[in-house]
Amino acid sequence: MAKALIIEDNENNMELISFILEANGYETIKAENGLSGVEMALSENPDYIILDIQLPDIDGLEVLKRIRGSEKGKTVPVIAMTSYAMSGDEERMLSAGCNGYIEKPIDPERVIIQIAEVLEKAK
Amino acid sequence: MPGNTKALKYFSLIALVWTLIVGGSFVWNLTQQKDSMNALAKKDAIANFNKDQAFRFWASKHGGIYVKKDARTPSNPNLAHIPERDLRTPSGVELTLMNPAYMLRQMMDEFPEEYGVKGRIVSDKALWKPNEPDPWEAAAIEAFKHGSKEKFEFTMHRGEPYLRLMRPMIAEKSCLKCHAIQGYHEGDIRGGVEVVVKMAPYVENFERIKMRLIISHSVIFLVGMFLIGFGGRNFNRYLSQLQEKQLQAESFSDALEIKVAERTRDLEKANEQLKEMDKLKTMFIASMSHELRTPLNAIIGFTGILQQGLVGEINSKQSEHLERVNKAGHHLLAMITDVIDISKIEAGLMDVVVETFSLESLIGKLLEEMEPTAKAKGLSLVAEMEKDILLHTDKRRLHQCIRNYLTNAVKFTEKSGTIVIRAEELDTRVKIAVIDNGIGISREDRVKLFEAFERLDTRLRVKAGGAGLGLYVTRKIVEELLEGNVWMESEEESGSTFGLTISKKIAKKQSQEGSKNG
Repeated sequence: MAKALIIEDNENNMELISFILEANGYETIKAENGLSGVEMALSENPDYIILDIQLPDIDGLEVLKRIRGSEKGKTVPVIAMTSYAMSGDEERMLSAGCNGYIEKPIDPERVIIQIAEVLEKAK
Repeated sequence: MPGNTKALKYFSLIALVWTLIVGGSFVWNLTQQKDSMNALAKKDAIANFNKDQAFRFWASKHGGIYVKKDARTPSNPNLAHIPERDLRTPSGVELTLMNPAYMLRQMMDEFPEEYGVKGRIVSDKALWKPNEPDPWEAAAIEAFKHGSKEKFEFTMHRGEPYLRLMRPMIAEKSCLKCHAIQGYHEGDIRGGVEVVVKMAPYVENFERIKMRLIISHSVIFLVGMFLIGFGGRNFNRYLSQLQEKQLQAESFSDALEIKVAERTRDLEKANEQLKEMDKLKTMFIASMSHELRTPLNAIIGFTGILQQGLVGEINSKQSEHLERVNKAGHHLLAMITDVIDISKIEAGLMDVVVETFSLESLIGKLLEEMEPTAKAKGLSLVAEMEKDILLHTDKRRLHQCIRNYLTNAVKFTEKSGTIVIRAEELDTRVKIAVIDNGIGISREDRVKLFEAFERLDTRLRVKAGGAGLGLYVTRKIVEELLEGNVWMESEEESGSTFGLTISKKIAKKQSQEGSKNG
């Protein structure tokens, strides 16, 4: 069972994404801020990471950079969650080593397909 | 005041110049008068001289004249060697010969007052004591012997001014009758003939003229000085007024400067406040963008989960209601996104992300996205383009614009209509049009189409679910970010064409602040 680390501060979003993943057979671990997200990404050996960009302590881009900056986090697939209106975020994330992105609001049907596609590409 | 001192100096200088001019004129006039007086005196002297000479020559030519001998006219002892010096007329009157010098001397002695001019003959070998030269005359005779033709001088004698004119007396044939005895030959300088003119009458005349000159020049001088003084005083007063005005102007200008400085400070302060407000506005937009969206994401997401049956089976009515909530959430999200987009564009905060991409694939993606909605209405979507076009612009924003057009087209086209998306390359630009055969738009409505919150006629209002911002956002994006323009053509009842013509390549513009909030 693949293990997903979800880094998301919003309780609703956390419940939403974790529920969808769990309903689709993924195991989830949760981080509610950027720093604990980085720590768990490096200590819990997740199979992939769902990373929100807007976080209370350090933002998603910084989290991504720290994960990629560590030997252990070099290859773990990271999928960013972005808002449609926020152009520019995706480009910055992709160029910092993000493997793909899913847009908010999350469509429960589509999100699983999107995640599967990204993981397939990252193999 | 310093200006007045300067003016005083200036007018003193003018007064000095005036004094010099008038003084100069006086001296010049006086000199002229003196010269003319002297010239006149000399002319008189020469006239008398010539008259004396005429007498002398006449007497000399006749070999002297015989006059009645009396106590005052004795026989001239110097003529003793002349035969017939003394004659007796038949009636017994004694006559004696008078030589020219003797004759002249007697004339001068006897009638001095009648002439006012004294004639005199002098010689360095005078036979007669009174004809011996004084030092002035002796010097003149000496000069004549060395070729001088005239001695002329104004001198003082016993406190009175005189003009003395002396010319040489040359021995002529007629002279030698009497003077050969002295050893003279023809052409020798025998002495001089002199006239002495009393200058008193001339001087008196000159003094009168001088007085007139003094009076006239004094009057002219005083009038001039008065005018200068008057002018200077007025000028001074004028200058004072001018300086006063200047001071007023300066103080006014100072006051103005202070005012300007104050206003500038106020403006700077206001500007600071504006900047602060602008910053707050930016923060507000960013914050709203996130805060408004987050709850909607939950609404949309969780209704989606329920609808999908991930939590458990739901009945059809429940599913329908969840569908309504979900759609309303999407609608609200779209409106919020539009409002935030407009705010960002207007605040200059919209990031432009430039990338190179294929227009064909973008249109393909759009058709794919729109397919389900179109299909549900029985509409067909068709793309028309001759060849693929590579664009270097903001892909996401262009996507948003075309999607707005397509959404409208689908919304306002009746069942079984056709929507065409046509792309055309125009040199450095690309023209993209969305053509429908829907209800069309009336002429009056067309002008308002691309404005914010413009809801068209009731017909449309019923059908349109949006806030009326879609076309406005499209225009804003196209005009301000994509270097292009929007346009539309329509025939009422027979469809509309919405288009945008943009640059194939745009320069990358970076907004003041990157948007990191989502």
